[in-house]
Amino acid sequence: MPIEYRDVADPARFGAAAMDTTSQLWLDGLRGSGRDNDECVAALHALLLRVARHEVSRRAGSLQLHGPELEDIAQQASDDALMAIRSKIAGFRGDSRFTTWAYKFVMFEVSTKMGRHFWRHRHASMDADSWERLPDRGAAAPDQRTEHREIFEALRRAIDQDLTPLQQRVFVAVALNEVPMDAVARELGSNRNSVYKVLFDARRKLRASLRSAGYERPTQSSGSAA
Amino acid sequence: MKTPRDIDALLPDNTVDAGCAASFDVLHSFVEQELSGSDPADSQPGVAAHISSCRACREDYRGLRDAAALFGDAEPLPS
Repeated sequence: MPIEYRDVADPARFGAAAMDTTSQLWLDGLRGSGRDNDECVAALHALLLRVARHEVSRRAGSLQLHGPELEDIAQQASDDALMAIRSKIAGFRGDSRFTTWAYKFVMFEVSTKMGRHFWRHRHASMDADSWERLPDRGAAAPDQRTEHREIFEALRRAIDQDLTPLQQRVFVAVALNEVPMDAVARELGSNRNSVYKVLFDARRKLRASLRSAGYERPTQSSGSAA
Repeated sequence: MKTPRDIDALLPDNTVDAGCAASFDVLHSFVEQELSGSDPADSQPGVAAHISSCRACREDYRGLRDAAALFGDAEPLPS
């Protein structure tokens, strides 16, 4: 089956659902005016800040960030998430609780802002010849090492010969050096979706190259994301 | 010759992948389906496949799942 990058998550498939009472209260408050609106906006901002603080704490370990920087990211993320929510509120169709829909924007803003901070604290490379170390990743049982080394050599050749310079750069950064996608996007002046598309195409090319060289995958990936 | 699982992890082979933007559009409903006890991969397989392949979106998904579970019932009372 040809591998395609396609949008199967068409929002139009998920029509408006019956709104729960609490979500309706949020919508009424945010769409209203005067003091009720002011209070609702203030309540939402306080809630978004609470969520943002929780989220930056959850992710802090991966970026070696601490107190003031985390609070700064949380404040900025909640501010920008509030702006996004107010501008996009007409797009909320009630297919989840309002808060879950709103928190999604906090996650996006936290990811983006942590991506900006990545380069201040880490010196992972987007360009180094990381695939020179690839065979070391295949440390297996002694009787498998030679076989695995051959496969990683084939992968290394494919990275070098079959990928475009941009695909090489993105694959090395994201897949090998584990640079966050948002940090790569910032470095390239792009966005996460476009960077992922480059990564997706690079992976597809590399799989095809390995298949052509006689290697096949052991199992199909499962959809488990937890 | 079979490839080792390290390469399997480097080169996940999802035949259906919704991508970052389309997954973000429906991530809230995906999370709520999971929290309600049903498997969102049944109705949104492209999102499930994407989350398994994209580390950035997987982090957003995990964060949103946590936030919805912890703070999902908040009401718009004056702060």
